[in-house]
Amino acid sequence: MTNYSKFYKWQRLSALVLAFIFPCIFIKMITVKKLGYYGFIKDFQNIETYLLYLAFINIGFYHCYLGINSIFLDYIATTKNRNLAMCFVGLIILICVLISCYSLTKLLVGEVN
Amino acid sequence: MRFIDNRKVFSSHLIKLLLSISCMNSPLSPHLQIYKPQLNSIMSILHRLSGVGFFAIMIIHTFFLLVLVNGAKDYEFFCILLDSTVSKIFTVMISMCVCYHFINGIRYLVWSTGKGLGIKSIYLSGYLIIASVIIIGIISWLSL
Repeated sequence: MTNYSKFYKWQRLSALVLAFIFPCIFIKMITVKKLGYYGFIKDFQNIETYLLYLAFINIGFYHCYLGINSIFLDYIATTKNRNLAMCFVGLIILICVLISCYSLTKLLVGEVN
Repeated sequence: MRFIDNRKVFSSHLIKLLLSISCMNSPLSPHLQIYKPQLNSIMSILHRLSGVGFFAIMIIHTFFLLVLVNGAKDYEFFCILLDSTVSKIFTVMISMCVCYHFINGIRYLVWSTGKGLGIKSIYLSGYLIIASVIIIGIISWLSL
């Protein structure tokens, strides 16, 4: 199995998981939005919501990373430039995942300003 | 004494040169300048573009979580930002993007199992997806 087919397999697998998680997040967002800020805070203190969002963030960003990688494979000809672009995207994704996990943990514990 | 065939050496050098030139001027995939636009090719390109939209919404989601941690004042400011017409249009476009990526992605997953690959069913599912995304766009515009 080549690297690219491995990427393809993982992208499909993450898409399959997201197909179940995404509607849950979407419905949850619409329902809680009506309750306002404190509705969100109360909802995020629930461990099930925490795990759902954690899964959504990690799998969602992983899916994005693989998708952007396949776009770069098609449109950036030289390996050096491609790797550089992927490093840049990977760095942005890593920062976003860290910020999201930090925020989610703070919301779970109830340490909001 | 070893015999070196000059023709072989020349041809190998020529192949290397041609490969390096082709790598430098690699054509755009999926060769946008060659093919006539069709429903499937356009939907495939839109799937990639909407994937970029999904990436944008993931980043906005990260900001949203940070806003929630920062307190009620920041949340109110975020809601005020969402109330402007420009951000409403942006929100509708992003939600259409994500819904399109989601529904079309499910179609790709179904195709991976080997089902729905006939010409008729491909076009039918394509038109159904476009119609459902337009309906979702109208609903999200009305709900904002």
